[in-house]
Amino acid sequence: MRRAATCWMMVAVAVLCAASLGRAARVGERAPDFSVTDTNGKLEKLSDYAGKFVVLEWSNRGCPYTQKHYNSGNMQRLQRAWTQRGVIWLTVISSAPRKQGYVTASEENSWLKQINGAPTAVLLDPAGTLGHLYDAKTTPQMFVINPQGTLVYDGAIDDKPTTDQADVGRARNYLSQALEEAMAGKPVSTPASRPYGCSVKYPGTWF
Amino acid sequence: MVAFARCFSFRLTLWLLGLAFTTAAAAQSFTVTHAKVSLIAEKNSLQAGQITWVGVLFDLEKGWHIYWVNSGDSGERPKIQWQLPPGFQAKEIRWPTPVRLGAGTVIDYGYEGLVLLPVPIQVPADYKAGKPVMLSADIRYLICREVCIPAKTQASLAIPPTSAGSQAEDSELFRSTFENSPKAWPTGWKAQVSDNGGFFLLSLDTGASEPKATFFPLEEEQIDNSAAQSVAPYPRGMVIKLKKSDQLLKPISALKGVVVFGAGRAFEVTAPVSGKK
Repeated sequence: MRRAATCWMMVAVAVLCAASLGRAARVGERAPDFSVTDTNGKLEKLSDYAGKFVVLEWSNRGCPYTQKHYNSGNMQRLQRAWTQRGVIWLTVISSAPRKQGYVTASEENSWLKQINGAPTAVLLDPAGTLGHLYDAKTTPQMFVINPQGTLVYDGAIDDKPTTDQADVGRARNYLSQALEEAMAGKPVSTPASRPYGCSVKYPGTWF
Repeated sequence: MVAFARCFSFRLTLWLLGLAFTTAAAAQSFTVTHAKVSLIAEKNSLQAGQITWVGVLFDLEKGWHIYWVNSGDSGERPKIQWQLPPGFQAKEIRWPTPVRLGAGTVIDYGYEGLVLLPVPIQVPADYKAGKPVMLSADIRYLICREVCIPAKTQASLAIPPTSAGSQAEDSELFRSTFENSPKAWPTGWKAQVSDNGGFFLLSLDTGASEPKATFFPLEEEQIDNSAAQSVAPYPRGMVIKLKKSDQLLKPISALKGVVVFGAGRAFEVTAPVSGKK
């Protein structure tokens, strides 16, 4: 009886294993190239930045988790600090038209001025193509790509998954840690974490 | 449902009349951002040295949801901070069985409609029978529909209640919530996971073929929440194929979570992982 059960289980496993194995880009693998228009009408290609560290920051200014980092000035501080050290910082907006966080290029540019934002560029991705390419789930979700084009960090901005601004000062910042370590030629000690926040407002989803 | 709604508006009216804390404190409720939140008790009396069940009741507006202990891809679980009389001790929330929320590549775990989060509270051994106590809590929660709103509310509950309330309805809510909560994994059932690289194959030997099952992971970032879970039944159970999370870079020793079979039968499961890691 026991043997028979085990045998049936193996049949079930074999059936499931027959399905193919599809996988998105993961830490340690090559970051997929992309070509997306920024808010100044310039085509931004990852391959153009070979030899530099690149940060991808998924953003939605209507999301309370994103607001925590912008209203406290934390995100602008990070953008300024890291771009001054030669990092390419690309903010990505994957909100679909009529969904929370969707903006036109001019709306985004005037908002950037207002909040004193300092990314290298803001990429508009209303179809969600870039979001799905990196399997971005939340805002804010962060990715770090090293000068060799390898994805070295995928996850949350820090270790405090809340909307409370007071947590910014208490948090361990995973993004800065990954950049510091990678720039020093060390392996990234936390190469992935749960990307907390609001869901990315892709087209077709209802929340 | 209608009865509960009526009951809430009655309580709210009392509160607005300023009678709440002294006369209707048995269950104040507040309308806060698309949800009515209140504290209710399973029983209207306390026994020294025993556990008493108190719960946070969320009456969520249609289309809005709150989150399970593992919220999934986005969101955040509710948090309760208790203010209790000396000697009273609140334990962890006993989370009812969640549902999958969302669509596409972002899937969350949570609740819609009328949701009770029961909490066992230890009554001190020196509690004098019949002595009135006031239990209060700060409740912080994220409530979402298309958009998310962080909310915070305060609720209180007097035991014994200071006015004739809806004890029968409240007790029934606890009963139905416990019925719809995951049960302990039965002895004699087996659960194991084999790791084949990109997927976990969760084998559940329950003694009967199960054509339907959904796994809810307790730990974040073990499985890809949005990936389809395919189920292959066999005569004494089934195998569920779970895609690994992109953020899972290290081997794990066990998959912990809740498995829900057909008809909402839910069980807590801890399955050791073997094979390639």
